[in-house]
Amino acid sequence: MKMTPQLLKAAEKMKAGDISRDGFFGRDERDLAAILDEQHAACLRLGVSYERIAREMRRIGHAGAGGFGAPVEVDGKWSVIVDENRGKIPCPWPHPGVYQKTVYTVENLRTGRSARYSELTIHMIFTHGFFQGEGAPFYNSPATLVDVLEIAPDTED
Amino acid sequence: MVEINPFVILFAAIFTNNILLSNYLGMCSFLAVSREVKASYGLGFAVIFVMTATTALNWLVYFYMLVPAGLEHFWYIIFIVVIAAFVQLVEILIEKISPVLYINLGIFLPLITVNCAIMGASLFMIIRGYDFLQSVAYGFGAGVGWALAIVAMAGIRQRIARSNVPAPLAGAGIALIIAGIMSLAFMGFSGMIQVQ
Amino acid sequence: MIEVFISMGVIGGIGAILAVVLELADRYIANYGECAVDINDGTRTLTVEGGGSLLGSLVAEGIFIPSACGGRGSCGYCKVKIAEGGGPVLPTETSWLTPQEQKNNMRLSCQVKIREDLKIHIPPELFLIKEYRGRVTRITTLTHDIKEVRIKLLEPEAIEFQTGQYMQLTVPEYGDVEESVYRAYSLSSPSFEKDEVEFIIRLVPEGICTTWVHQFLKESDEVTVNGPHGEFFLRDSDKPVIMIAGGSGLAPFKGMLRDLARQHSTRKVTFFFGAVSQRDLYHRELMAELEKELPNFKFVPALSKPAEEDRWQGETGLITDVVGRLGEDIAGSQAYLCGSPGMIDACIAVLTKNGMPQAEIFYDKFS
Ligand SMILES: Cc1cc2nc3c(=O)[nH]c(=O)nc-3n(C[C@H](O)[C@H](O)[C@H](O)COP(=O)(O)OP(=O)(O)OC[C@H]3O[C@@H](n4cnc5c(N)ncnc54)[C@H](O)[C@@H]3O)c2cc1C
Ligand code: FES
Ligand SMILES: [Zn+2]
Repeated sequence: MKMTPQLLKAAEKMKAGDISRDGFFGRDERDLAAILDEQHAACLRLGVSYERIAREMRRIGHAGAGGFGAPVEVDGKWSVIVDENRGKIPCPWPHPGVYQKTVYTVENLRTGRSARYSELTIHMIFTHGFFQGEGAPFYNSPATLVDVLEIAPDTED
Repeated sequence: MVEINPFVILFAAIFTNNILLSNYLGMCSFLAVSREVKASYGLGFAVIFVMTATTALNWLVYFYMLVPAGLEHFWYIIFIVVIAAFVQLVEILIEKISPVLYINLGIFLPLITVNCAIMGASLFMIIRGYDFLQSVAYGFGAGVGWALAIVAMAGIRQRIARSNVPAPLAGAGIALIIAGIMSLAFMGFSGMIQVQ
Repeated sequence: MIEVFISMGVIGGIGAILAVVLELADRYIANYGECAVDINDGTRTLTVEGGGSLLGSLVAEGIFIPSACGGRGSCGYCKVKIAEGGGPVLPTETSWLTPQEQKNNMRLSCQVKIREDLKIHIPPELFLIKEYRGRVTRITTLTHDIKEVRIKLLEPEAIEFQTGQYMQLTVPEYGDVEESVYRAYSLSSPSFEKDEVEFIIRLVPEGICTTWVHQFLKESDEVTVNGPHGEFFLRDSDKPVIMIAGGSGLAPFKGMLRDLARQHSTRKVTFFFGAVSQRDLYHRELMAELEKELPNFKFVPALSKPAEEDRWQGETGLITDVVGRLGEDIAGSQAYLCGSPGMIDACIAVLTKNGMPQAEIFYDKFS
């Protein structure tokens, strides 16, 4: 897929030092469109839509919010720490929207594997299908999220 | 010059000779922008406008400047330059006149300068020997046809996003297959009117 | 031979004509000339170069319109009322403006381009906001992730504000950060200290500003701050005060309590501070001192998950539960909250459930 003006604008803001300290690409040197395509395909292979991954991230993350920074056990499966900071950060895509600088750390109690993501991460996955480049802060591959959050494949409808 | 009613040319350009689906021109922005219906409307309108205006302009430049000077062979370069300058001018004008329109269309204009369908429409009108009215009708029709195709494509792709596409075909692969099927569907129109 | 010249002439001519047309368009159409911006019916009039954004032009003239996104149209803070000029509301603004605001001609100043004379209205407090140059005099480590930064003002040398308001700290270019950004921090100093300001800054994971403060900022560095902003300050009243904070939210209360101590206030104040474990607590000696100076002040730290080695004797549990135990005392008091939005929401729920009216609850709405 090619870079559209929208994606070019977004990619510009995703550079390190624009709206975030380390940027959104990490070690990934491909262009944004290529990353989106590859991550979209990865979700298809896992049989889970990115919207559903984001919904689970939100559900489990928000369930831990009552701890105010202390770990909270959710559904007997996860230990969730919510670090909610004051202030909001905009999405790199050119649309209105700011997201609380909240950081969620979710640990799967059975496997010990964990994922760390922010409110903005959830939005970018849900709305743009963007998991960020490998090595970026708050990057989790679709496979990691499906594994840590124990998301079963979508059933055929 | 060929004797075809400009209206016939208009309809032919939209359906039977759709510049995108029968000539495969303007493919790159077609694939890139058809992710979202809203953006494809914006680009579609921009293409209609620019195509109509540049076919008219290029027709005048060709017959009143290049032909008299015997410089027809320079048409490629001149057409490209005219298109680029026109798009620039439109961008400046829109920004001045309507900030609302500028925000909706402005971001698509630079993409259009390099859209080969725009160039293609100008070249076709000369090759097919259209007169001025026919050319304008053709430019407008080709633009509408292109817009129609991209909006339809965006609609289809929005639905596809939710279905289970075989992983190796996800993204560009499935989009090209859809484009192929769409052009087969448009071939159904080709019996209606014959123009070339 | 002649033909070559003719073709060069014609081709060059066409190119030249187009270039001239574009140049003229750029000169005459894209030029908006000088425009006058009238603020609050003649209180101030600015003459600015047309074509730029209203927000940018106001900031360049030293008028600090709030903004959290740097003019990208993605925070919705930069609203001003445009009485005349300004053109139609843009699609980039509509999602930020309520129908009511649109009727009142409110606009996002970062999206409005100055292309004609404008008449605008802004809250007069914004004129008090200034940019200050200062020098860091002390950086104290309060906990594993919180630092206190004290800054001596150099230019201008003194500031007027209300204790509890916040300022914006400018982060200079560093590392990959090529354009300076600013972030809001509550003043932890009281308003009687006019030549120095103090902030309590908590490290945010991968944060632009907090990384700079925690890793790069050194004593005697020069910094820039602007302010004061916000409407968070202690209201005059006899009602007992309930203060609730978590993390860096202690900052405005430190200032307020020092203010009260200087006035020898006898107002009843209870300050609940919520943390996870002992390592997140700080300023306990200061609070103990203030308890001695203020006869009716009590500091109540509460830990939600004290560690084994903390041997914690104080209140345990979530801050909301600890506050809820006040019971009937809540209804007749006034509450001041500072911390994460989640904590604030949860506390408001507890307070209103116990009979406190919304109008008696104060906090920074922007955070
Ligand atoms: C009115 C007000 C008063 C305040 N007072 C104080 C105060 O007294 N003390 C204090 O410490 N703070 C205060 N704050 C908060 C402060 O303004 C800053 O917002 C905070 O310090 C974080 O700034 P930062 O530049 O370090 O973080 P930023 O760089 O702006 O944001 C970092 C966060 O953005 C998200 N993020 C960044 N990159 C990515 C990515 N690639 N993917 C996904 N998510 C990402 C994450 O959530 C990350 O934690 C206040 C805020 C307001 C609005
Ligand atoms: S400055 Fe953020 S919306 Fe205008
Ligand atoms: Zn977004």
